[in-house]
Amino acid sequence: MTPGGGSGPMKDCEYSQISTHSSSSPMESPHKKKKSVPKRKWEVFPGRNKFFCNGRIMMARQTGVFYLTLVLILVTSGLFFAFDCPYLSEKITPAIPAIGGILFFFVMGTLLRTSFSDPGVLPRATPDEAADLERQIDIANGSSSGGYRPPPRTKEVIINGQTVKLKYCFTCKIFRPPRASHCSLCDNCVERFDHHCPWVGNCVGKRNYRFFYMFILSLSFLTVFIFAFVITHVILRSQQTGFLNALKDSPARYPFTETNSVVCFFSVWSIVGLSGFHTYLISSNQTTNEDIKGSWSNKRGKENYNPYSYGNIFTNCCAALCGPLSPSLIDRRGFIQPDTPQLAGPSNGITMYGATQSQSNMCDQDQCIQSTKFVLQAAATPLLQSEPSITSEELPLPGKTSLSGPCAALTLGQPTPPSSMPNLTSDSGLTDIIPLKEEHEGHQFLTPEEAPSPPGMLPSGSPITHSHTMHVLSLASQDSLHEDSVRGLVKLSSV
Amino acid sequence: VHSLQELRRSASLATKVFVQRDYSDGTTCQFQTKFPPELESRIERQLFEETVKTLNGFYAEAEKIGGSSYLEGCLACATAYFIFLCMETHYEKVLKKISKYIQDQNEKIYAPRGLLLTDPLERGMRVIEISIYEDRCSSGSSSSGSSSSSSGGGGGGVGGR
Repeated sequence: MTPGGGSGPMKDCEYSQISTHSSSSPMESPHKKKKSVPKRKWEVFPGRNKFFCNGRIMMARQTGVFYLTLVLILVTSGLFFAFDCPYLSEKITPAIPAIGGILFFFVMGTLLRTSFSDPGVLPRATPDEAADLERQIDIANGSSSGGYRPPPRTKEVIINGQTVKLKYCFTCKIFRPPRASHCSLCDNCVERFDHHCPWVGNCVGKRNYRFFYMFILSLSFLTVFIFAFVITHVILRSQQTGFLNALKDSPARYPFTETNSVVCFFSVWSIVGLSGFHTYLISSNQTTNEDIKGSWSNKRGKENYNPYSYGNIFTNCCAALCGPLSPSLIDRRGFIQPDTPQLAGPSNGITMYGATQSQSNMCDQDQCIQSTKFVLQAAATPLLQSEPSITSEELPLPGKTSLSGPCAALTLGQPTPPSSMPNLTSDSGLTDIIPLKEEHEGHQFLTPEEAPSPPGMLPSGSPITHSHTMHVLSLASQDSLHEDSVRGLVKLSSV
Repeated sequence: VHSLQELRRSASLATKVFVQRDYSDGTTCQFQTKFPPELESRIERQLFEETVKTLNGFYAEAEKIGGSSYLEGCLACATAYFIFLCMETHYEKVLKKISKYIQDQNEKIYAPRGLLLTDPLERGMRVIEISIYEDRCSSGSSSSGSSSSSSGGGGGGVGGR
């Protein structure tokens, strides 16, 4: 009895499969070797990020422009130090390369910090949480008839007298905290989301905003510094030998000096401008996002003001730059636990005999327990569920009915923009399921129990723990699944 | 199969309650002190509220903007933030305190009542997750039965859409 898949991103399913294995599909043999090497959380991170150095470094997927930034800075500074500094340190003072060096060091340090650190990514909701939220939303909305998309989910909160709407993120299955936003490039919700900066190859959010600001500030100083002293260099030389001679004097350096000046000239304006803009943002405690949308501008209404501002510029600046630095919430380098650290014995035991398991979360086990009760009560009932695909983009399994996610049961009925199937399908498509709406939950939970039955049914490759989809596309497959579910039930009841 | 046997041998998880964040004060980390109805029969209201209030206090301390945090910030800035490679931030220190406190509370108050608190840090600081375990005795199974039927009702409601 092999819970087959669960390979791919579901890497921690290995833990639950320990002794019950008999077959070893090609998928599993490599995993068996890895069983002794626990996976770190960054390896199964659901967002679109790249990780380096075993999880220590975190960047966005597109890093090309970041390398360009690095090259520009390194080359410009390198040329400056190589060609202009010797002359200037002789002629004027050796403090010039020294200061230049310090600035350069600062720029590189802050750039790397900005690019490599976690901007404040919010981890996605565990299936339990998502289910609980769904329940609450349903209670709040009242159960409407199937087939209609429920209204968009927002919560209103009053912060310092200002009404703020919290939006529900369908990808992360959470209500976004105020000022958080979902970055579509990185596919993460980020706290205090400012913007996604391709130049640093990362999002700019709560945790790295100060690094970003210090980066552009110090870069402004550096470019102005280099620009000024390159010009000084040329002027001094031309005073000695005449302007054209000065340029002729160093034919090899001529293009470099020119290039340097040109690059610096353009950078100066854009970088200095950007620094100025962010200085304004910091002093009014706004994010780029909010400023662009005009969330707190007076144009929206006389009563509109920024509830996060501390009132004066100084406090705002200090808070943004010198305030406490919150830790990363995604724990990139942590090891994946088979289940959360709990009253150890029971849960672990259950996980071991997970049997069904293709899911990694303990909640699945727990739901299993609950579901078994349903199963025994409900006798033979078709397992088949067309479950709304919460994030159909995450599970590209068209035509494959993947039974998964017990916890997804309670996400039934949640509409997702990309998929229009969900509610409609469950209502209209599969007649044999409709009467069983009452026991939906139970059926969902059956899924894990179904493992003993054909592995094909299992979410091999339905990787994501909390998004479970059943794209039911053919009645034929339904029948086979039905058969399988009955078989599974029989096995269960024989326990 | 095996899971059922395991289940019979030990306490099992009946349900989880989530205490959500309270954003009325802005983006600072605070949790709602509203007493969840599911805990009605399991723990005294006052104990629970005290736990949440203490946690809120800890988080407020971690995020406090004041003299020492400014000093830390300025020092870090002056070293181009390289100092974070060797030094633990104030926030991290408080988080360790919180973790210890939660463990302590679990041992003394919650575990004896069949409950378990999960550190919010493990849930992205979104919720305080309280796991409710049922006892193996008959009274326990009835409570689990009621909780499953209530969640079943919820599921049915969802399915009804």
